[in-house]
Amino acid sequence: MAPISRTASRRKTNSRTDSPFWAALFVGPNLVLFTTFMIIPIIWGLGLSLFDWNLIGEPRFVGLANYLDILKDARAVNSVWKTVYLVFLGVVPTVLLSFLLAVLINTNFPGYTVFRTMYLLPIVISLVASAVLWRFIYDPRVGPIAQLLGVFGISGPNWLQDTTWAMPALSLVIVWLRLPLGVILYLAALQQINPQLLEAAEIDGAGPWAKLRHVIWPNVMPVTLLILVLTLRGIIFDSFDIAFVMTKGGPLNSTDILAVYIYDLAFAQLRLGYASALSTVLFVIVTILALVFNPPRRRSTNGDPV
Amino acid sequence: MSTSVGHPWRRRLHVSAVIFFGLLMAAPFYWMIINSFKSSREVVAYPPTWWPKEWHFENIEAALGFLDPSAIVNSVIFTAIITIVQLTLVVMTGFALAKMRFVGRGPLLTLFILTMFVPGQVALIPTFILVRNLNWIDTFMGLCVPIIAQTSFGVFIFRQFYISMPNEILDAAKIDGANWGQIFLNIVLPLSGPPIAAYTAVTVLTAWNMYAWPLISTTEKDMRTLPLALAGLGQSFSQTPPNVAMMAVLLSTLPIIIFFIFCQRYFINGLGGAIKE
Repeated sequence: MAPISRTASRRKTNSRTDSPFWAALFVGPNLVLFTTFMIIPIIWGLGLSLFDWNLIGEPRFVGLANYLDILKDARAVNSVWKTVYLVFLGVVPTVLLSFLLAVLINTNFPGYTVFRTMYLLPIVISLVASAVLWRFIYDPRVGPIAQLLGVFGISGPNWLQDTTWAMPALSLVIVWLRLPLGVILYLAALQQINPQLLEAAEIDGAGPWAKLRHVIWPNVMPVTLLILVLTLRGIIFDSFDIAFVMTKGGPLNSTDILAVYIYDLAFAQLRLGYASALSTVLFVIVTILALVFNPPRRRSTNGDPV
Repeated sequence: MSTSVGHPWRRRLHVSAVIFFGLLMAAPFYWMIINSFKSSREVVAYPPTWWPKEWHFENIEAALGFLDPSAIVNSVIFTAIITIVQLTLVVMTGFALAKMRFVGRGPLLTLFILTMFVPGQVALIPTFILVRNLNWIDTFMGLCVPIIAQTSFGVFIFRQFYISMPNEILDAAKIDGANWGQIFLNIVLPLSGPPIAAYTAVTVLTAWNMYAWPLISTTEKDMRTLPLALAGLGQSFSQTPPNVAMMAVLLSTLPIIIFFIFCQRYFINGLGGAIKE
């Protein structure tokens, strides 16, 4: 009896776990790379923030001194506020405009796809290419914006050289770049709204605005939260390219966001420990903002899109 | 919106609004194209012209000179390697996490999901130190491997796709004695076309446009990718005439615009599909 039961139990385990060979083959290569170039650097980065190191000498343990230094560093405090300011200037218009544009183009007419492509086109251009392009568009003399304002008798500022206007000018480029993703996600959400809901609202006498406000907007709320978080992440991740190419943090540090300052600290000044501490601060800011926009709640993982 | 139905003037207004805002979104591209064909004199003339007086195709040659061919070749290699290797890794891992049963599967999935929320800057400095210690600065290994390793998003996407694939398909093959390798190649992959197309489209776009990592991990001119070559043109229009700069932007964006127009369906399905159950 004994041998039989042993085989039986082994067969049972076999049916619960597959051969480790195939699992290792399918997951192993990725796991090795992922651990080496993602997990270890993330932990290393947190550890490095407790050291003082210039890449050449011996790292010196300084505890939390780097974090305390941030509070005394006017440029660091400024860059934290500039980052929050840029996120605000970028996220709010991106979400509202992509919603309105998606509602607008959720239609059909002959030649429609040509125009839909126009709305989605900015998704293809790189941040750097658009930075070069928009520098020229913002040109105070021969740029089209200055020209159009001139028609109305307005003499615009030198957008990228003006401490007040440089940041809004950057955020306009970022919004333009990020609108297509929002429009695509909202379009998909709009097509999932039950048409009977809209008909019912119409029978109840709801006008277009009432339908927009009380039927469509609440129904796409999950997507709005998704777009909020994606845009937030996108702006934090992408803003470096735009700011670094368009203004290099200037004029007078008015666009000196954290990503630009961290790059300067790490790769120009070689203050790697301090730069890591600021990166950690950036991580904390992103996490806090993400939680504010999208508080964790119970939901099925299957439909969870992020 | 269905409100437009039955009101011809309203319908017309709606269509006009769609066209107007579409043109507005595309206007920067229009400005780029017309200015890339102007002469060096016309492009800085005041007031600016809204249509080139003459089309200067010789700007193409000048722009290619500024972009330098090695940057174009590097960008193609960089994009191809990252897309192919990363796609292979995430498809296999995603499938294993969805369908294979092995020790540590749950924690592994959690690990991939958690790292999706860590901003890249946190890992950037140590990754640079690591690549430098491996003597990978100014090599394709250094350029590509750390980017390929950013697999968490892809793993999650493919895991979600394979979770919804019915087990019966796989069970039938298992009864016939097929191993996981055969099942994956003969049954699973042929059914994975749509998510692979979508993921490829998004990855090609991301890699082609990437700036920060190539900026940090390369120092030599012949290792530069296109965005690095382009960024130099943005700093000052006094060194590069704006018509040549615009032509360089146009040339570097054109391949991806063509790619997008043909693959638009996959982009929209891939990105929009993320929110469908």
